[in-house]
Amino acid sequence: MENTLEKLKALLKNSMPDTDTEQITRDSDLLSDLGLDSLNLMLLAIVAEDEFNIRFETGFHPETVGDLCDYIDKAEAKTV
Amino acid sequence: MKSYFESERYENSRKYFEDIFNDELKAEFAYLPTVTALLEKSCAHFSAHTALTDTKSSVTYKELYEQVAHRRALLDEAGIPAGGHVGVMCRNNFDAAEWFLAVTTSGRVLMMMPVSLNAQAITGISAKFDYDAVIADDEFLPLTEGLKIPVIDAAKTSEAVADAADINADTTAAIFFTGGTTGAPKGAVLTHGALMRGSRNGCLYKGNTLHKKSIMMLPLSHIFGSVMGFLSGLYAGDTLCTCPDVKSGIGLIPVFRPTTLVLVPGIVEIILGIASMKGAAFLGDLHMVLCGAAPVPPRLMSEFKKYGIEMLAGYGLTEGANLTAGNYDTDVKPHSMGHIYPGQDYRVVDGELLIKGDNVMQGYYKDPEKTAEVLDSDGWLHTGDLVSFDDEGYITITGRKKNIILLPNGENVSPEEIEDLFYQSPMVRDCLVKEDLKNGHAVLAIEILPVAQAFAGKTEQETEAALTALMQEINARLPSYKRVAKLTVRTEDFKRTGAMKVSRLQQ
Repeated sequence: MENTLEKLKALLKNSMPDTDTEQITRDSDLLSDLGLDSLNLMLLAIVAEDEFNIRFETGFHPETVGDLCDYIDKAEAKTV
Repeated sequence: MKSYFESERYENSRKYFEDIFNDELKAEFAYLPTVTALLEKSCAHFSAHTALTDTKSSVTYKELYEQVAHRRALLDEAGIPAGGHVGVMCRNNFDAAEWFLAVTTSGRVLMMMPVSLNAQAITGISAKFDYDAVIADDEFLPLTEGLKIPVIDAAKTSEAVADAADINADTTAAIFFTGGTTGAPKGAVLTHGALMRGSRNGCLYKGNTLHKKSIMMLPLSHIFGSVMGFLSGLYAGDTLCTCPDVKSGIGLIPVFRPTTLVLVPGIVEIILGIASMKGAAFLGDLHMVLCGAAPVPPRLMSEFKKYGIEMLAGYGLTEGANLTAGNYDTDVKPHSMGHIYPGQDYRVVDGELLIKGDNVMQGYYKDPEKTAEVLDSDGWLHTGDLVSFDDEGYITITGRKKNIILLPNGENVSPEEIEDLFYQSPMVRDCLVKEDLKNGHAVLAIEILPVAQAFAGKTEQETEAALTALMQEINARLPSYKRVAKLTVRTEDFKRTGAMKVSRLQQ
């Protein structure tokens, strides 16, 4: 959902202020477009878990921003 | 001529570290020659104090001592020979900590295995390092199915007890993986004396006390996690909280409320990022952070200071049992890595730091060629780090002689290892992997000079698309920290060395 994408962008901006969030779309690749390594992703996961009140499974390895949004939307639907 | 150890320079370095303690702490942090001696001391001095906890259950120092004796008995019952090599593949949990101590104090050789290894890598490593057995958490047992050596469920123990073996400082204790310059991981062979010198050095900092609370955030397969994150903690009678991975460890900070953390800069960034969003309460009782294993940006220290938390930076390498230099007064020289720890001689040759002492590895396991590249016949370890010393003996790392890229998460990446994968493609004439910034984050970048014939008649966009596809295909085979995030297609040749190799220094 659009809302999830916007919330994720805000989380990225707040937790990693150096990140340029203007150009982010669902298709943005987390590594090659955003330059997020495994530690940056961990930070994003921790703040997103808090924001969306969900838990990321250990085996979840998102490639794109869209993968993250879909996972969050699905997990949120379950908790509602 | 006086030896270095009788010199004024050595005396100054010794005093720098040791005069910060009162007599009680000096005695508590006295050098011990073996892991067995450490375990005995901890049991005798801190018996009823909690050694390990996962916030639900806990183990006292006395219980830890006893559990380790039962685990040793199981190693005997499994028929693992004296001096045998034992791989341990566990997350940081009670089992991992107890097996670490049981294997080493039984006189066997420990190899803590990174939990990111796949089945194929486990088979390869077991053969290369002559494993006699593997101990694994149930989560990893399926990955060991192809092994032809005994595999022990890490949760198991024995009813019986076995005494510690008769060992000394020169007995081999462990082999630690370290980034290979040509791809395959090397194994740095460390004695009990080396591990204990490292962990004793890990105690030498301003403000260190007994019975701190810490979270074992770094894996025991990493020398910094093993030495400073674990053994130095046992030295001081600390309560160590285990956690299955870094993410859970960070989540434990406001729950377990550690007073001290041993971290790499990448994790410091995460913790500071969360604290900036959630506020200081997230950091609980934390007042000291010990940081190393990768270059430590001074700004991290000032960030922590805003929360009243002190951060001390240190420098070390796997081949020197982790702790070579440390800073006990970071405020004075935040760019510095402090003073060389006592117990080591050092010299600077052509700008490169050389160290010598009982903390230095015996060599890379079964790799005399690679060993000879870093360890000379006089016992000097060539660190590959370019350094400068100021008049007061503070050391600053100015660069690296070797081509290893040290990422903020403390992982070593050999550019050649990744370049080799690209060279297997008929599209790549030459390439160069280096560290670069992408969107404000440190990442691995590659420049590729394509084979002209492979792209005859193709547009620049088509060439880039084909090479991007190659990059994605190679990335998919690599662990996440080794993936290349940025690709540049070169139209001009690289600058080259006299031997026509791509020059790493002059692009």
